[in-house]
Formats: sequence, structure tokens, C-alpha cells
Amino acid sequence: MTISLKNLSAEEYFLGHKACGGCGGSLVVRWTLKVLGERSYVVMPAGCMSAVGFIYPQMALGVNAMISPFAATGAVLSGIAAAVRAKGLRDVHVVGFAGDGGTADIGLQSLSGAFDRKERIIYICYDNEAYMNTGIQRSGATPWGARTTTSPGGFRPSSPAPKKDLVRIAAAHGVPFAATASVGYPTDFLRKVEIAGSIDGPSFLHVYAPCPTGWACESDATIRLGKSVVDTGLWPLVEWRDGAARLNRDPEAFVPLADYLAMQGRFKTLRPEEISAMERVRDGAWKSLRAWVRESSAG
Amino acid sequence: MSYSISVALTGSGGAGAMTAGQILLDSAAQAGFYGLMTRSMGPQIRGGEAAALVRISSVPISSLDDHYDLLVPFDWGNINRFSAELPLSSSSLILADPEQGDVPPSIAGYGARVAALPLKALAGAIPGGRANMVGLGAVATLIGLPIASVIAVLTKQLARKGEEVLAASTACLEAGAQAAAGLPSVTKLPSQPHGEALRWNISGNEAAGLGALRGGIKFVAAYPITPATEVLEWLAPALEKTGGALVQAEDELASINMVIGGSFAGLPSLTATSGPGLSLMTESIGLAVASETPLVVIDVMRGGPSTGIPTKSEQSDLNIAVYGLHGDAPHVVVAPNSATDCLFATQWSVHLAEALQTPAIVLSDQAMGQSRVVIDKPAENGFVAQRLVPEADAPGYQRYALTNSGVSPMAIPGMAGNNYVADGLEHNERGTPSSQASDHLAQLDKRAGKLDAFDYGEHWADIEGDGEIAVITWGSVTGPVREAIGRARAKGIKAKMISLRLILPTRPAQMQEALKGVKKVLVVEQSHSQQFHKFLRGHYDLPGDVLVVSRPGPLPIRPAEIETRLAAWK
Repeated sequence: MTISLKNLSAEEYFLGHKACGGCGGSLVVRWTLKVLGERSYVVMPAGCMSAVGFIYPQMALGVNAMISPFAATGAVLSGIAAAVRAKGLRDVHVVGFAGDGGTADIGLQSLSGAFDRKERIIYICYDNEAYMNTGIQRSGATPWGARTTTSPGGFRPSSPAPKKDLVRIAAAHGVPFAATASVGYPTDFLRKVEIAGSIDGPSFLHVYAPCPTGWACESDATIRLGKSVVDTGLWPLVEWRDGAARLNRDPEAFVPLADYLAMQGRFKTLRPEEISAMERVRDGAWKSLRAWVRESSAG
Repeated sequence: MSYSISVALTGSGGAGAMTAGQILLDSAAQAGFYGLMTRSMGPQIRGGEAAALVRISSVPISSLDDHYDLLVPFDWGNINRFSAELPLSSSSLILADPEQGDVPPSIAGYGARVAALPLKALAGAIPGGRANMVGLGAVATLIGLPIASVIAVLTKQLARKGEEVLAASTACLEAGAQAAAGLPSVTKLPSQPHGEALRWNISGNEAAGLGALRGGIKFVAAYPITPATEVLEWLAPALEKTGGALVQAEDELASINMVIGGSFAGLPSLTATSGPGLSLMTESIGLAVASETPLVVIDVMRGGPSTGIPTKSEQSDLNIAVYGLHGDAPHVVVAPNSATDCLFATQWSVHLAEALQTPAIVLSDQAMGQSRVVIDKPAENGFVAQRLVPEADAPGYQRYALTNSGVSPMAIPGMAGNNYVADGLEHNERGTPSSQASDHLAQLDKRAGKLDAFDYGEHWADIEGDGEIAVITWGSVTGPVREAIGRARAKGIKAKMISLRLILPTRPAQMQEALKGVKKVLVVEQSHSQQFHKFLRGHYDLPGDVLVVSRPGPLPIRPAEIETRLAAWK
């Protein structure tokens, strides 16, 4: 059965948590578990979702979970996957939810190991583009120009550059399934979670998840941002499956960045010429992305 | 009238308790008082419980009091989670907003007086009004803090937000002040605050950052972690201004190893973290010991083990700081004993690390790191980074040469003729790997001997008072100990305080001297397993009669608990 918004489970497995209004990360966890269901073993490192999900007396998670060390989501998932294999269980999902810092920075090594061992796990990175739980510090996935508490004037380590490409890092490991998604395109996201649940091996989803607290945006802007980031071309919807990449949306022209950036206080320090430079970087990234899609599907 | 007054402002996240507490502290400073504000929060970034615990005093303080004179809850949501942190006495006053419902049993149980103050209704009558500002106006009036001081602070802080915001806040303050006229009285601040000398308003984490800068730190690599992050947030712009650099690493393994790289290349280097991060760093701190690479690690301790209680304090990283490295790995551990002392302790640690070519761990904690204090300007100290480097082209350069002091010249990469390999493998004097027993022994002796032979002066401990009773303590618990001893002295009970600043290397001879004539020892610490007491037992001879006050976090140790023990012993 293909899961859509119409037939999505009414069961809640992540509800009653203490996340901020408009939290994209909490949507990612909630929607994912609606697709995967109650036979899910969850791993979360110390981070926003674990901090807001288990505050006594509210037990927001409706499935069993282990909170791992920050660096260890992939490794704890691997251990669970090994136990699941040893017990001969086939009807369970072993799923991890980690933020961008827990994935692109401190957790990358352990994720790489899990990918390399071809563990039957689902790893979902909810990317809110900084360390939000500790108070908005820059992460390895913070976009160029964004203001955080450790980049108070806007993050400009060099001339504008694209973000770390986690999906292609995953693809380079030869995982069977890796994809981006955005909370602004829920149908695409749900479909990808369903595919991930059917894969006999590691799958990876990198999901755009706005954080109104950290981004200085309105809490009702989450879904609009989730659409806008895709329409501006900053967040391509792409999936890699069994050795071939394909674009889920391939717009001929992108919406200019200005409106997207203006919705978020974190980009307040950007100058017009910098925004133009970011658009050029985006165009370059798309060129490379389209080449990847072309070459991988030709092969 | 008393020399100090304590106020707890509480509420759900977003109710403005922290803002009100901060303004109260700043206003007290403005009016010439000393002060201290600690924070109590849940682990989440927003929406949990929050308490601003403020103590205002006419004399310098570094401890919370035994109870709060005034409790102002902006709402009762989540209050049960931290009611144990809000001790009240029968003379305390609770300003309760009837709109928020009855005083919950966990608070009512203290038997304090309760007065109704319709915070929300009063704020609601003012366009743009906020209950926390009404509460602040009432508090200031009740404790005798001039409302003009509060308005002066607000005017400065709200300057950028425009006239309307300021007018609304001022109106709220005045409404609160008027309402206070009809309320029962509480202890008032003395009318004549202490002097008008230049005061500082600083947190322990900021003070640690300043100590690092003054000590000569030029390179910082670190990874965000509560409650240490403010050290980085303060240092990032400060380093930029002073010609240094801060790099945010991808994890703690990277931070500590970047720091090793920075130091190897010649720059005084530092990282800051908390327990989980220190755990990850221990292998590399061992490399710094073996390769004799100076560096400083600030550990702002929080409740452990594992993720533990990230937003609250505990003195339970002592064991890992002292014993956490594998092998025989002598290093320096320094513990500041107040928010103010974070400056000196960190600056001194930079000096020690560089002078001794060793890693130095600074054991701060959440209670002092995230406390904001109003203090007299600290005295300057001359401790800076001074590394022994060889002459260029010195013939027969040996990086790990055995010297009298145990410290050997450390070449900076690029110095002509002084190439060497810094190594975690055991090595000989030249730095060449060696598994020979004689080289191992010689280098172990060198690394231990250089720490033992060094003159740490009087800074190894803060020793105050006299008597046959000694209270041995360390870290932020020193604040309540100092206050308890002062109170006991006023009642004719004499006791001596020994607050250990230099945890490693140990100073047995100095301790023996300090304990001369002492017949009874009280050890005070904040850990479940008595880590400090066991540490003292392992390294020092304590006189026969020893009593331990030890409790895990997050409840702070209060002066009265120690005072009672001292009185019982008299």
C-alpha cells in the first residue's frame, strides 16, 4: 500500500512533547513513526528530540527508544540491528533520528560504520541547520551566511559554498537508499519513509526541518519555508536508490532567494551581493547534481 | 534588616523569570549592592521550568542563602519539579497571583506567608504590559531597592526597543510598586550599600574566558555543550579582537586534537567542555601528557553520569579529571572556588600548562559557571603563558632532555636545527620511540618530577580562619563553607577553611602545615560517592576525627547545614 496523507495512520507515536511551536524536527519524528508503526525500535542521541520527548510526566514517544551518546547513533542502531538479526525478527524497523550536528559532525564516523556494514537500519537526519538544543551553535550543516551564537555576525568561513552533501556521502558508501526530503513536501517525505522501511539494508533520509527558535522566523512559517527552500533550489529533492540517482523535482527555473532568506532573522546580515553569490553557488551545485543524476542512471 | 536578601522568581519558560531576575541583579548593582544570581532550568532549550535565584547583599557573597525571603511565581506550572530547590521559612513571603490558582502543596508545605498579588491582571491593564515587570516592581519596593535603579537599568536595556516598550515596562514596575504598599513586609536591604567602587557584573564562564585571554590563550577549539557553551560564546568575539581564533569543531575528539595541534605549532591553546566531552577527550589528554604538549581543558561540571542533568551542578567529575587517563599520566588539575575565581584559576592554569608543558584541567561547575555575580573588580595577577623554547640551531637538540626542573625546551616547528617528533609512544630524550625500561622510567620520572618540583606558591589552597576544626572543601561549595564559618565565628565557634585550588599535583607538605593543631576535620563536597573525601584519604593524612557532608547535585549545599555541624562539634 502506498502511504499518502489520506490513508496515513491516525495512531500517534510522538505526541505531547515539549518542542517549540513550529518545530520541524518533531514533525519528522511524528510522521516517520506513523509510517513505520509501533514495531519500531528508536535511537536518538542527546539533542532536541530526546530533550523534548521524555520530560516527566509526558512520555511523548509511543515506542521504545534508547538515548545514545551524541557520537553514537549509528553504532547503537548497529547493535540493535545485530540483536534483531540474532532473534530472527523481520517485522521491526530499527530507526534513528539525529539532528544535523549529531549526523554531519560528531555522528558521521559511527554512521559511516553502520553504512559500511550494510546494517538493516533507517537513519533520519532532521536538519535544523545548527545545534539548537544547546542554544543555536553553528554545526557542519549550518548554511553559509546564517547567524548562530557561535557565528554572531553570520557564518562566513570562506566565500559562499554549498552545505555538506550528506546524501552523496551516504551514496558513496553504496547504501541501497538515500534521499533528501523536506517537511514542506510531506507526500514526498512519507513515500521515502515507506521505501526506507522496505529496504533490506541501510537507508538514509536527510530532511529539512525548520527551527523557529533558532532561525528567528515565525512559528507558522515552517511549512512555507519547507516548500520555499525546495522551490529556491537550496534544497533539491533527490533520491538515490540501488545505484542510480534521480531528482524528484527538477524545476527549470528557481524562485529567487531573497524572499526565503527574508523570512528568517538568521540571514539578516546578508548583503545583496552575497545573496547573488549564493545564487551562483546554488546554480553550480545543481549543475553537479544533474551531472550525478545523468551519470549514475546512464551507468 | 539583614546584610542580604534572597528572591526566587519562577515560572514556565517564556514567563520572563530569567529576564526579571537579571534586571533585579543589575538594578541591585546599579544601587551599589553586591549580588549573585543562579539559574535553575530544565534540560530543554525552551518551554520548561525556569527559576532565577537572586541574592542581593551589602557585602561580597559567593553562596546562596539558606532560604528565600521572597518567592514570586509567575505561574505554578512545573513548580513541583524544583520546589526542593526553593526552601522557604515561616518568615518568607510568597507573592501569589490568585489567577494562577492555589499555592501547590509542595510549596505550601514550607509554611511561608502568602500574599495575593494579581500580577496578570495588573499587567493586563497596561497596554503591552508584562506580569514579570509588575512582579519586579513589587519585589524592588518590598526589599527597599530604589525603583529609580530599576528604571535606570531598564532604560539602558530597552533603549533599542523604543519608547513604547520602555513606557509599558515602566508603567508595570510602578503598578507593582504601588501594589506592594499594601503587602506584608519582608526583610529590607540596608539603606546604605557598601561603597561605590567599580564593580563587575560577570558570570563564571565569562570570567574563565577572560582568564584564558589574560593568560595568553590564542587558539580555542571547542564543541557546544551545556553548561560550558558560554565560555566559547564569550571567547569567540574576544579572540577575534585580540588576534586569536576560535574554531568550532565537529566533536570533542576534534576539539582536543585541534588544541594539541595548535599548541604543538606554538600557540597557547584551550578547549572547554563538560563531563561527556571530557570523557571523549581523555585519550588525547594522555597524548598531551606523553608528548609534553601544553594545553588547558575547562570542564564545567554538570550532573552525571552520561547525559545526566546538563543544566544543573554537581562536583562529580573529580575522579575522571584526576584518575581518568590511562597509564601513569601526571597532569595539572585546578579548581576555581567561585565565579570570581574562574578568572584567576583559568589564568593560572594557562601559566601552569605552558610553564610545565603539560595538560591542565580546570574543574569549574554549572553553579559558578552559569552564576552571574556582582563583585569588586578582581585584583590583577601577572600569570601568563611562558613556554621554554630552545635557541635556534642549538647543537644536539633533545626535545625530551632530562633537566633539573624536568622541563625541557620545546621547539616550535620551523626553528632551524630543532626538528623533533612529538609522540605518544614512549621515547628517549631525543624523542625517538623506545620500549626500553630505562627510557620509560626516566621519562616517567621526568614528567612526574617537573610537576612536583614546581613552586605553586600560596595558590594551592585558600586558607582562612583558625581553630581546631578545619573544613576542607573545593570548588563552588567553598561559597557556603566560607559563609558558614563566618557565621559560626560570630557565635564564638572557631574553624579554619582549607579550600583546595590545586587538586593535582597534590601538596602533602603544605597540607600538613595547614592542618597543624587541627583536631577535627569536616569535608564538604557535592558528590554521591564522596569523591573528594576519598581523594583526600588517598593523598593526605587527615587528623583522626573526620566527618563528611556529601550530597549529589543538583541541590546546593546551604551554609546552615555546615554551620549546624560546626555548632554540634563545639
